[in-house]
Amino acid sequence: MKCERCENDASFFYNETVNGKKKSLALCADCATKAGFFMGSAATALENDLYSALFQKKQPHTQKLCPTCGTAWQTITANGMVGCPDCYKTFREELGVSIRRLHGNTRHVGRAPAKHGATREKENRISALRAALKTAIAAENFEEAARLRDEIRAAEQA
Amino acid sequence: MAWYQVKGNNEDTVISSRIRFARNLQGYPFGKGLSPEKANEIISMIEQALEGLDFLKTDMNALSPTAARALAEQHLISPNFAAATGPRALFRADGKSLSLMALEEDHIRLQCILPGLSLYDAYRLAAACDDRLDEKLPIAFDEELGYLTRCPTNLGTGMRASVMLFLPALTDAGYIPSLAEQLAKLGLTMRGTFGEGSAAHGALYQISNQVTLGVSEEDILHKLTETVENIIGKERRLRKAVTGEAALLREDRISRAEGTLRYARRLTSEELFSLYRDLKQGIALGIVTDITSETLNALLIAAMPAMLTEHSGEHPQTPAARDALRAKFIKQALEVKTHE
Repeated sequence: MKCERCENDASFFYNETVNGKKKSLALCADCATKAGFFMGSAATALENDLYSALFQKKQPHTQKLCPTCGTAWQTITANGMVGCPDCYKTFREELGVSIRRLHGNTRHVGRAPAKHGATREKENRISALRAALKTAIAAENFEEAARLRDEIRAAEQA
Repeated sequence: MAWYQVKGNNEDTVISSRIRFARNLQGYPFGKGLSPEKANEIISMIEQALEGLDFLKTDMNALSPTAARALAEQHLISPNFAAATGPRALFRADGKSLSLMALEEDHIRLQCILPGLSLYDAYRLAAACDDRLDEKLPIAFDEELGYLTRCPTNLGTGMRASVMLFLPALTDAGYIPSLAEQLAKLGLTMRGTFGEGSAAHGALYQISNQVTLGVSEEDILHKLTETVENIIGKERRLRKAVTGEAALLREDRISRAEGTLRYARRLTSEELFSLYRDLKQGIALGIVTDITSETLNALLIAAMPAMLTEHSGEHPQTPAARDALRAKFIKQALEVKTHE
């Protein structure tokens, strides 16, 4: 069997099943090393491959550089990783597509550093109330729904 | 004592629970963009932030490659962190089962690992330490995206919660692929990760949350705990359903495995995984009585390649020599245990 990336004979075979999906690779020792298989866990190397593939689909082009770390958009798409925390500010628009694709969400709920805590707590409370409102409406419990609606309004103005 | 030497709950089906937070410092680049000076600055900032919390610092570059790999084999650090070069440090608070990798993929990877199904306890311990980091360090956080991480797959809570499960009956019945599919629909990932061949030979699987943005920590813990409890129930029912000739065959296999583990002169790690699988079931079924579940877990970890070299002081040059060393070590460990 030949290596999938060059003409040498493959000596490294990697199979994995994640979420029921099979993926296999046949590589020669050199290509396997290049792919990072002997650096750490094989799963990580494969995952990185998959993530950078996620990034490379129809991505916007931009010449911007991150002012904090100097990273270009092309570098981020190639690595599947940002250069510094500020890259999320610099490339917010460009990254938005991938983030939505990865998580199915674009807005954080949950823990936050104390300095962000007050607003965050309020938001969490409101989103919990909204979920309860949805359930109440689905259950045709309109009395409860009206009460929740008022509570949401009060919370939003607080 | 390390997490794997302590008796946990649900030991017939659960090995361990782990919470991991990814955190970063505002204004500092990642990876190659980070100068050695800045890297050391981060390490000492973390050291100061953790002051008084009983963390022990280890400079990873002061460790031999084997010693570093042995830490990875105990699941205290990642294999990548063990193999990396450049400034990086490990902070450990063994009493609280906490470890913090400074300058892994993210600036900070904080983890808590506990035996049994203990996600909430692990979360509380990790969160208490995270509160300290938040208070003392300029942690990168965005109102919309949450904790900012090097890889966008960790954005939001930056939290990965995982449970290591032992599922021999579900594996034998061929349920794993469909189980994995169902888990994927719930936003959970299942994989066999306990070294090479663990899924096939040891029936060991890790289940973790896939999504980190737009779901709260509580949601993640709740969903994972509930799902795991459900899987445990299925596994137990299947184990009980084995009767008659099949049960006798299983008992035979388990007893033979005990004999092999005690008296073999050469053991490959693959064979050890498959013996582990039989014996672990044997302990749960009351067939094996003089080896405990936590002893078996500890043996499996202690018999990993780097761990073997670390505690024996021997450096086997061939796979055969290593297999002989592994068998000798297990034989001795079990003799000591039985005579205690």
